[in-house]
Formats: sequence, C-alpha cells, structure tokens
Amino acid sequence: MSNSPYDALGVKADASDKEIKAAYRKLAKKLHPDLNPGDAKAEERFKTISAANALLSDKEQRARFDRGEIDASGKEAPQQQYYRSYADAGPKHHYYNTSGFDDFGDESDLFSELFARARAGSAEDQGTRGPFRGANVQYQLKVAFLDAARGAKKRITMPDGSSLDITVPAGIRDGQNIRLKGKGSPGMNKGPNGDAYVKIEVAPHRNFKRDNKDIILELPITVDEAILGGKIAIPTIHGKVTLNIPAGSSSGQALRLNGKGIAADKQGKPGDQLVRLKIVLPKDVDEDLRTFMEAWQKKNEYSVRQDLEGAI
Amino acid sequence: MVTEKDVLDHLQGITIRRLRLWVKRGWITPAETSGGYHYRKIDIARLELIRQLKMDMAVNNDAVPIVLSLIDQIHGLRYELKSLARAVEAQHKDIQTAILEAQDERK
Repeated sequence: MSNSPYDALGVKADASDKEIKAAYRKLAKKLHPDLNPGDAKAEERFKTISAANALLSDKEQRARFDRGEIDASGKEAPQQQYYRSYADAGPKHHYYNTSGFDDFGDESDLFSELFARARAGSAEDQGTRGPFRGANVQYQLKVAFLDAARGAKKRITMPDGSSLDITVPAGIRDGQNIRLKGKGSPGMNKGPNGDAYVKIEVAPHRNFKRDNKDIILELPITVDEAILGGKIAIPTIHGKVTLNIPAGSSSGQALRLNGKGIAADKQGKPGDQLVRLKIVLPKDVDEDLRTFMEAWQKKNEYSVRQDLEGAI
Repeated sequence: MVTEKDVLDHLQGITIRRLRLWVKRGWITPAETSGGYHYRKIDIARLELIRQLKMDMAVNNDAVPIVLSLIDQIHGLRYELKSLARAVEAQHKDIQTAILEAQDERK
C-alpha cells in the first residue's frame, strides 16, 4: 500500500478540503475500530486514515507535504485508547448490554443459565461497574457481658444522625461482626447500598467469664461449706439458682449447672454454667480452729501431692 | 478515575457544556461521587468515541445513542459468545465434536 495520505483516503492530489473531509468521513464510518470490534486490523487502518486526514486537513501541513518537506507520518494522532479495548471486558463494565439476548434465553435454558453465571461471576468486581455498590462501613459497639451472653437489642447512632437498631444475638463473642445488609454507604448510579458491619466488643464481667457457650463462675465457699456441704444461692446469667455443694468439696472443683449457660442457637444445645469452687479460710484463724486442726492432724494425716512426686 | 477537569484538559474539542450535555443524555455515565463526576478509563474511551462519531463521522444527535446501544450490544454478544466458546473448549473432545456436528446439522 502506498504511503501517500492521498492514497490512504482515496482522493486525488488536488482534492478540495471538502472532498478530503467527505472521503475521511466515509472511511471512518467503515473502519473505526469501535465499529469493528472483532477486526484486529481495523485499528491499524483507521490510524492510517486518521493520520492522512490530520495531515491533509491542516493547510500548512498539506502544503509542506506537497513540497516534500515532510512525509506522510509527519503528523500522527496520539495513540488512542479505543472504547472496544474496555468494552469487551464483559459484564464488568457499566455499559454492558445484552438485552438482545432476552428472546433466546427463553428458548434455551442452557443459554440463560450460562449467561446468568457469567454475570453473577462478575458481581465481585465493583471498582469498574456502572452502578457502584456503596462501600461497607464498620462500626464498633461495646456491649455489656450479660447483653452479649443473653442477647439484646441495641441502637447505635450513625454519623448522619439516624439511628440503627441492632439485634445482638445471644452468645456473640468479643470481636465478632454483625452484618447489617444495605446499611452501609449508599450506592452510586443506582447501585445497591453497602453493608454495615458492627464489630462487637464485649465488656468483661465482674463475676462471670465465658468459655464458648459455657459461663464460668468462681464461687468462694467457706471451709465448713466445703467439708459439710450445703445449699448456696448463686447467680447465673439467667437469674438466681440454688446450688447444692456436696460435702467434701475441694478448691478448683467445678460443678456443672446444665443448660444455665448461653441459650441454644438454631444448631445446638445450650451451654452450661460451670461453678468453680474456691475455699476461703476465715480472715483470722481463731484459737478454736487451730486447736481442732492440730488434734485432727495428729490422727488423720492424708496425702494430696502424689502427682507431684518425681517432679521435684 | 479522573475528575471532569482532567477530562476537559485531556480531550481536545470537548467543552464543559457539551460534556455535561452528553452525561445528561445518558451517553456516558461517569461515577457520581460527593466530589462531582469521576471518569473511569472506559468513560474516557467512550467519550472519545462519541466525539469521533459526531465530529469525524457526522453522526447526528439522534443517531448517537442508537449507535452506542448497538455497539454495547455487540460487545455484550461478543462477550457471551466468547464465554460460551470457552465453555465448549473446556469440554472433552467427544463433546466438542458432538456440538460442532449438531451445529452443522442446523445449517
């Protein structure tokens, strides 16, 4: 192919500006890469005619070319990023349009299925899509131990002044997030709203601790309660219960109250409350106790450190 | 993404009035943010295409949206066709042959 801009546009060397413009217009309509998305060579051909048009439509440049001062590449349009190089990315972009498919989607379930999947797969890509999904927002909510253990309704005030009701499910753990669908930043271009995530911070409790679904309570008992046993009123997260301390209980021993922990969720069983005993001596060991113990010790020596033998 | 000002600085022959008119007509849909419109690469490429359609090819205002819609549909179809071809390609040779044969029969 000749390098001459006149040949590129198919016009004579003495063509008028009008003829050149018309010739370019006709070729551009035919060769523009975006009108020929499947033709890899269209870009090269369009570049040639664009350059020819740019050169010949500029009086001065054309004269210089005619005098042989510059060659046909004298003026070349800067590299253009054609629409087709973005638009062929599929449903990832917001100008994506296959409404032309609606009719044969009905005829063939296979096609509808395939294309539905292609679209679904693209939903992850948010950055380049037209309708922008709003951003997710993160909130922090401090809840009391008992609210976290039993579940509660909470209200938080959002930055824009509106309030948001949150149902804190029973048994939520420290650091866990509650997702509030559509309560994040508003979408753009009619995109859906983002989600709000509320990160829960569970405040510690003076008496209770948590181990998964079980509630742990350390229960101080007196020496006589440990030895003789007895009934003691103790707190659980669900209210007071009476606990039977068996006679002869030791420190560290745990008594289990079935079902008194975190309430059952859909899948499982409720947790238990574990009561860990802790024998507390009277503040002042009085003469009575000392005398009794000395007498007792003489007759009833017993061993409790068998497990440690050999470890020393 | 770039701002409206960046777009006007970079693209010759597009005035702010024209740009906003095209957005208003829905030919281009830049992202709307609290800081005004933001243009993605694809928006700018589409802008350049519209400019060429109008100026270089003398496509009139009524025809521009028709052309754009058809171009978008072609890209949509091409993409779907490509994904279908890829799905067929991923099948066992026997299945591929069966599909090609079935296609021949319909012709």
